[in-house]
Amino acid sequence: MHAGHSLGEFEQVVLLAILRLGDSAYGVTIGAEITACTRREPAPGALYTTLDRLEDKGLVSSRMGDPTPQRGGRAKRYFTLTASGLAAITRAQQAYRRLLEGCEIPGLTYA
Amino acid sequence: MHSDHIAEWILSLVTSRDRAASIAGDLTEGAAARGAVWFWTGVLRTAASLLWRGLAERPARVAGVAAASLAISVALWLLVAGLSVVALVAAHIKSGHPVEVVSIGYSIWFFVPALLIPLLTGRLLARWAPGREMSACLAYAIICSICCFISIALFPPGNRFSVSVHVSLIDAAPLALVVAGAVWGRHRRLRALQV
Repeated sequence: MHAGHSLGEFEQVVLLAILRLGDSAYGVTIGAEITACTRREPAPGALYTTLDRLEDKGLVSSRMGDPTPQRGGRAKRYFTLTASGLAAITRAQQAYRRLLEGCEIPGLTYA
Repeated sequence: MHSDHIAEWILSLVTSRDRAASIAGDLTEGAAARGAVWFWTGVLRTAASLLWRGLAERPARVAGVAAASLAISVALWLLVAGLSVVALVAAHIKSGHPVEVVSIGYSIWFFVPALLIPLLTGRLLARWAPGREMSACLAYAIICSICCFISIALFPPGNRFSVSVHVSLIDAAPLALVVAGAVWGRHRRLRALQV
């Protein structure tokens, strides 16, 4: 058994979205990426509480960007994965991969 | 005050100011394409989620703070009620006839603690649960409701004792004033941190 943080499904989705977005991950783009990839629009409340929780756990870090006029002069809060966030999502995905090995799921090609 | 400033203020009650500003900014950006209903639904759902998170993360601590504040609030009300009885008895003995309780002086005597005790309770919640003031108010409201239901079950209407118990609990629960006291305490704490 690995020590460390166990991740819920939505936490994994959020971490993967941040990983995909790289330097441009903030609330709006993270929500849009999740919607595009999962075809499910996350509730803003769920997204921001999850981001807060991940930051409190030390799995993501955030920095404030510059204020922009289309946001009423408010700054964007950019998120990036920390080393322990990357380790946690790697462990979680490896567990999924082990579970998938040997399974025959229609419509899913597993390499 | 624009609507997005109101939204930011609401969010700043349940999270830090910079987080509230960035969330309000995200929702403002999204509202350009989706409209005002989506914006306000997002604000309220986000505030509710953050409020609940504050309670769910440390339920024992927040509930303990709320219970202690409620106990102090009820104790203060019982003190006011006790002093009122003493004053009425003293006035009755002095004048030799029953005292008119529906008087301006009597109303003021009860109006002042009715205003001050909930505000003080809110300040206590803010002092004992810094950063989770609104979650403590939510816990306070839940505990107040549970106490009211238990008191009604234990002392059904018609019992003389039930009246004093219900009045003590109901008078201790004007939640709007409690929340106002907690918001006041939160703003004072944040202002002190800035200084």
